[in-house]
Amino acid sequence: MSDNSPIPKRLKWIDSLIDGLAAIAGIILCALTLLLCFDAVGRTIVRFAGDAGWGYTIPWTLDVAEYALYLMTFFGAPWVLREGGHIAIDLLVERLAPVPRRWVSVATDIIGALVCAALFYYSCQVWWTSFDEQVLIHETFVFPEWTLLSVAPATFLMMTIIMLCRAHRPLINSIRNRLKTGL
Amino acid sequence: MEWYYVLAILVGTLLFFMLLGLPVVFAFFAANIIGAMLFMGGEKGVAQLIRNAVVATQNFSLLPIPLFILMGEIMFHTGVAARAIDAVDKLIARVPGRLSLVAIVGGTLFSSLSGSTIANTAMLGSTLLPEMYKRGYKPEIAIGPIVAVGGIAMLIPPSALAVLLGSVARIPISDLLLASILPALILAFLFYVYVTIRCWLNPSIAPSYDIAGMTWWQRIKPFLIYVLPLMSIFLVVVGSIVAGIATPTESAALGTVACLIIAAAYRSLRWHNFITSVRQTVRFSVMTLFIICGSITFSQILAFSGASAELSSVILNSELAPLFILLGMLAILMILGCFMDQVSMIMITMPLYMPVIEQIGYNVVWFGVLTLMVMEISLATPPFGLLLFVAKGAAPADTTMRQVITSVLPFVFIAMLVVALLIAIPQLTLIVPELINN
Repeated sequence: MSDNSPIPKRLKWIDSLIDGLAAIAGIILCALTLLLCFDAVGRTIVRFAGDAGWGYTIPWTLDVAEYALYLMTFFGAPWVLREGGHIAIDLLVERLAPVPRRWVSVATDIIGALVCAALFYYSCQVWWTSFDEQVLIHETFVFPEWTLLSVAPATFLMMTIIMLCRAHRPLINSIRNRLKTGL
Repeated sequence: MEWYYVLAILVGTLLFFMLLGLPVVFAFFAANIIGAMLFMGGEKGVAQLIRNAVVATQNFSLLPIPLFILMGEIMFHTGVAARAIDAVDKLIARVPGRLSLVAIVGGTLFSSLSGSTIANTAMLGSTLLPEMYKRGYKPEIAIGPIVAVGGIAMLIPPSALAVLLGSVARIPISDLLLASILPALILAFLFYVYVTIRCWLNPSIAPSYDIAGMTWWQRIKPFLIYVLPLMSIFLVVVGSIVAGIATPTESAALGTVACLIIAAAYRSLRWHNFITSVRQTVRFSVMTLFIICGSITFSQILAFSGASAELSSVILNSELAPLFILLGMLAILMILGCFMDQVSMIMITMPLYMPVIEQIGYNVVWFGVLTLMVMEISLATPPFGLLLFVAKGAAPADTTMRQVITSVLPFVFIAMLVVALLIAIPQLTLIVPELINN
């Protein structure tokens, strides 16, 4: 758990949940790497060894890999937000005097919370529509779409809570991290 | 509503929230919620935005992004990269500006193992800058090469940013990865020549010093042990694409496993540094991929409202020569790069740029390489280039921003010369993919 977490101690379980989901995101990343490797190696063996029966192909790799990337992103997003890892441009904000900077920082946290709350509300709507209409995904596997859509409302809800906690806490750490991440 | 109002509202809202300090991903979401409400049928549009966000990352072509980042993180956190730099350090001797040249060669080498410009600059800065200062190197020749060569990671495969650009701009990713190699090597070569000439003309900026007496074998042995095997990683990534064995995504996975095997072979792979690598990868990848989730609707609203098509037709119907249109596009990227991260730059500009480029008939791979080059330059361009801050962070405390900027400017100029060269001779970018595809 991060020492820098804006979430108050009484909501420690949310912190733990965020950490748990981030750990799952890491496990997904590792599993994804191995899956893609096995598939590439197996297919190459098939290609070169022909019908010798040594190689293999995994027909569901592409679909599973795509879902995995989505799950990794949405499971990891609240953790990245809590750790201050979502990139922000603070060129103007950091030039302000401490008091206005504090207020701008609080204002952006509230705007962020509103955006996340709107996304939570509409993602619940989308989820309910899909659940109500029993929409199915027909790819390698056939399954209800709502199972996949369930992750988004949970992610946006957690992000709303984090943004509200950030807006609520004192000045310390509330200023955005300098633009320090990138590719 | 007229298309230019749509464009102004969308881009204006986005920039307003960004400059207010709202995390970029929420600035995109906020602009898109407003855009969807106004131009995509109200609440139905926002519901579509949610569906887009969910579907955005379910894209096979984006998979190399986390994997390329993981490769760099493994090399960095296991210390394998630092040992390789140390081996290059032993190999290069009796030349003016030795440590600056080590930075260029080592940085180019690490670029072939890492997809992250930040990791590249931070690693070079933390390993070489203290030694340079200890040896009496002036900031003007110490910092510049580190910042300049840091950006080369964006060009040499594995490059996470090239994958993102290819995916968003619908440029063939394999071709883009291959096409970037030669320009990156030209860039590194010119940096090398510049440092050599500069230090030869003015030896006081990089005082020569005695290196502990080493035999030829003592110098070459670390290179054979710690550098040569690393080339197998580059061969796995690029070779598997070239041989048609793997897609870029699979080559990234193979490269990651190759990195793990090599780190294990050096007995450098520990549980804690593996966990740190995965944690950092999740952090950078999720940050990038979530911006894609937030920004994917941006291009849809632009297309749906007709703004993309109208802007494209206005530009194409103008009297401007295609070359000037191209230069204008690159100039805008340069300006954006002064205060914006590269992911946002790609997500904002490519939906507007690509229709124009395709209409003009320019080669998209060539344009992709130019875009990467310009973004690489903008990272090191004053006053707000990201790598300037990374280098300043890694430099001794008394280094001023002015010193960092003065040091970097000649390298920015060289990089601009290379961009001009690539515009004049497009074959320099296209030759490698053409040779391989034929």
